[in-house]
Amino acid sequence: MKQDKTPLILGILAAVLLMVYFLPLQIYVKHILILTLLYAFLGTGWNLMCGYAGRLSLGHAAFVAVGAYTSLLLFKNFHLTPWIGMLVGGVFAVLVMLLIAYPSFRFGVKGPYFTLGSIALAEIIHNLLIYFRDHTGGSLGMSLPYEPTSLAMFQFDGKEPYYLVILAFWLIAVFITWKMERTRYYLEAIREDDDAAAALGISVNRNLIIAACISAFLVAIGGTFYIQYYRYIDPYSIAGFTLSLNMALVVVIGGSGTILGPTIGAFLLIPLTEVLRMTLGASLPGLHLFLYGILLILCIIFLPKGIASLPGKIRAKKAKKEAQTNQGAEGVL
Amino acid sequence: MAEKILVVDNISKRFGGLQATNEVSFEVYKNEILGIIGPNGAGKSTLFNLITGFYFIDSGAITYKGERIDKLTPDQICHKGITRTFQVARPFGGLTVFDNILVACLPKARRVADARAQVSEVLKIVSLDKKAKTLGADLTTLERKRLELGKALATNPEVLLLDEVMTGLKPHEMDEMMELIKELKKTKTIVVVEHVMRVIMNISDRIIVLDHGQKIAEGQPKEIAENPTVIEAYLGRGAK
Repeated sequence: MKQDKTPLILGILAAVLLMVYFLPLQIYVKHILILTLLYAFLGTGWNLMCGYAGRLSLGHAAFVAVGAYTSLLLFKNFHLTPWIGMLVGGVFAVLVMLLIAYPSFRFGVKGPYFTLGSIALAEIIHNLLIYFRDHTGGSLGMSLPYEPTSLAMFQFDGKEPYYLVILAFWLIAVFITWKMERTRYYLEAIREDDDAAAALGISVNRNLIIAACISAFLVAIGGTFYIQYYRYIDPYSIAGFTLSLNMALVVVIGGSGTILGPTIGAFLLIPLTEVLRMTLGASLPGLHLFLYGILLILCIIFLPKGIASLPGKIRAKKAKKEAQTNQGAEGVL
Repeated sequence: MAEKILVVDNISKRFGGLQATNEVSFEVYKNEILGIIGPNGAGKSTLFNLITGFYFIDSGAITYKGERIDKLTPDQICHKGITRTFQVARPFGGLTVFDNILVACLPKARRVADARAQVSEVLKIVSLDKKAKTLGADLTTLERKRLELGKALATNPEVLLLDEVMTGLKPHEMDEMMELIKELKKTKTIVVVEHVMRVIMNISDRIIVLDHGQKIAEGQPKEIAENPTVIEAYLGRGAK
């Protein structure tokens, strides 16, 4: 019987990342690590709906924005701690998700149409944020009112506490994904063929909506983390296409529909982007994007199912070979 | 007479200008094999789609164990105990054969581990135990057919609707499949849509014949084979 090694790998990974916290690293390296974990966390949320269930969203920034603006506005106007604000933001994100997910799933909108819908949703949120400038600051964005380091208010002067927070968020998200074993199987079946899945007694809509809601909730919490960490948000950076696309890229390169794929993708892409930008950004502007693009193309050609698919690919090749030799042997007999 | 398990009462379905099913009625008795035959386009697959909730009926009623099921969705009907296979096998291509069967076991299993424990038994029944690690997309036509049947069996249905499971099989493979279906009859009720006459005549207890969405005959295999209306539907007027 196949042993599930995920908890073991996850434990080791978390322990290593926790130890990194105690290393005397440069501030910039710490920033990259935090950013990497943030994307690993966002990607893990994205992956539930878009990777496992194959309903590709390129508008998930909408939910990041809902989360970020909700907790920020609640904090600014009512001095509500972002710890609670982020849960409220998560609930709002779920409501926004239901608005698009329910009709889409009910009427079987999928493939490119669903993706276009998701892009439109993010555009709507983006424009609403600009339109309600009296409350949201419009295109100029909004900053987080400063408070001295306070755990209760989710504000810290150093980078280290943020690292611990996002490490915990990421761990929880991956743990949730791992725990949803039954739903993961259902979602994969639905991704492959929803009619065939329904014929086997799987409620297609129910499972899709569960995945979509958890996905939106998690990503919205990432939004609150974003504003607490950067202390400033504007509609372009938080509800824009770049963030949506990066979330998707991290997962696709790492391995969509796998538990740790988004994390692998984040740890490859985010540091790479940052290092390329740091080393080449000044001397040859644009070259880092060029190299980044080439890497993406190579990944998509050679590992269309992501880096996490490598072990499975090797195993499948082995199984095929074995089957062939078995068949050969039967033929001789 | 055995207990009526599934009653199809006067159901109709229209797609635009096409009357796909026209006032069809029949009963299925417990632990029998009911064969459904008819020329291409007679509405056999539509009938399966109506019974399993993939399409809703326009009029009539479908009753399973005394309970109306014609307003239920496919997954609810599967939970009640009716599972169908698809005419063109639909494996989950990106999943291994093992996971394909596992997914089918899951909805009725209490824990994932319970479902996992059932898989190897199903794989053995449909002789795919050696292919457990192969991806659904990499299977041959015959293996896909077997997987399709395996997935349906994994849901542990009381009524099994088989849509052309023999198509594409070699004669000796058909014999194997027939043995398997007869074996399944001991515990299940089976409705078979089939084109291959040798098969349908051999395994069916009763047969109904559809043509242009209507039921034109019903009876024992021998009666059907000699029924002039049926011969006409298949071979045209004037054939003797």
